[in-house]
Amino acid sequence: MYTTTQTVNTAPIHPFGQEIVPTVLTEQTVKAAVDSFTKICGAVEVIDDDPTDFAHGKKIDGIISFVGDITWSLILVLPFRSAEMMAQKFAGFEIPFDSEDMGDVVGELTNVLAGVLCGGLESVGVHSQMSLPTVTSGSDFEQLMSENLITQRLFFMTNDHHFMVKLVVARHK
Amino acid sequence: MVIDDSRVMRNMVMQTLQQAEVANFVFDEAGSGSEAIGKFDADKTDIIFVDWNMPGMNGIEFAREIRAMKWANHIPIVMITSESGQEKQQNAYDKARITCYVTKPFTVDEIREKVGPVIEDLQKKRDRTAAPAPAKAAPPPPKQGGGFFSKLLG
Repeated sequence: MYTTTQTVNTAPIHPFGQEIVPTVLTEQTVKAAVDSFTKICGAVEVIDDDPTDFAHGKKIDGIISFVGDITWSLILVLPFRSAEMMAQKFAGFEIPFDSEDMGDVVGELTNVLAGVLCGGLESVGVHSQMSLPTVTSGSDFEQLMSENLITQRLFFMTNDHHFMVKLVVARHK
Repeated sequence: MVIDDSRVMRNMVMQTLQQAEVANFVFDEAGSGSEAIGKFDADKTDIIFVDWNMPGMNGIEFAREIRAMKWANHIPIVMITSESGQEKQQNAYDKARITCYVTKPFTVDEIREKVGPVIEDLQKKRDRTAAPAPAKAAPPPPKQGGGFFSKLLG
């Protein structure tokens, strides 16, 4: 079980010129994912290595962008089985992967994660405003990122199902 | 009235309110702030549950519209949202004069704890309005004898 840290590296919060995602974003994202999905699904564990190949198979992505002190995006990646489990836990009833409601729920799950994350960032002095969620689903796909973007992938596990949160931050030109 | 762009979320809010048993609700739904304004009838709406982040008119804009209506600005507005920052919550209270704030994901107990007092307050106000006015003291009987009309009528 991951224990969230109380000390947060708030400086530097500006990503320009850095080749890594700012620490404050990574730390607050991990904390927000653990806090919000623990409330929805039960215990959430942080995993160090990529447990599965997230590029292959059926999956659904929820994407939210942020503006404010840092401009960045967050992608919640849910493989087919994980999506069905989390949707059931969140909505309280079964939602088939291919149904219209699945997009609705994944958008809402991404929204919840982003909202908790915004609150966490605000508590350490980082102001951000989030967009509405966008949802993409299908098989064997991956979101393409420009070379001017820095990405970081964070892996989690809950109820024997994996999910990933991908952070995307602009690199200074 | 329950306003959220997510159909699943609207169902969840309605289901949780039923489970919380804070009142016997008859629900009306809208998928956006502008749709809700079109459907809104102050005489048939006791309480509004609205999401913040919606396409088009968002929850804050919707609440401000309602607060600007003199005939409807007494209706409690509960904001149900994933925006969990303290500063944003305070903004919602200050700018849109919302009644209470519930963050997603929520439980039946949280809904009961936050919405229950709003419903109780609503009920008290209604009881006060419905209660009969206190009886006024009966006017004193007209003086007999010696009055102008007594003299006139003999």
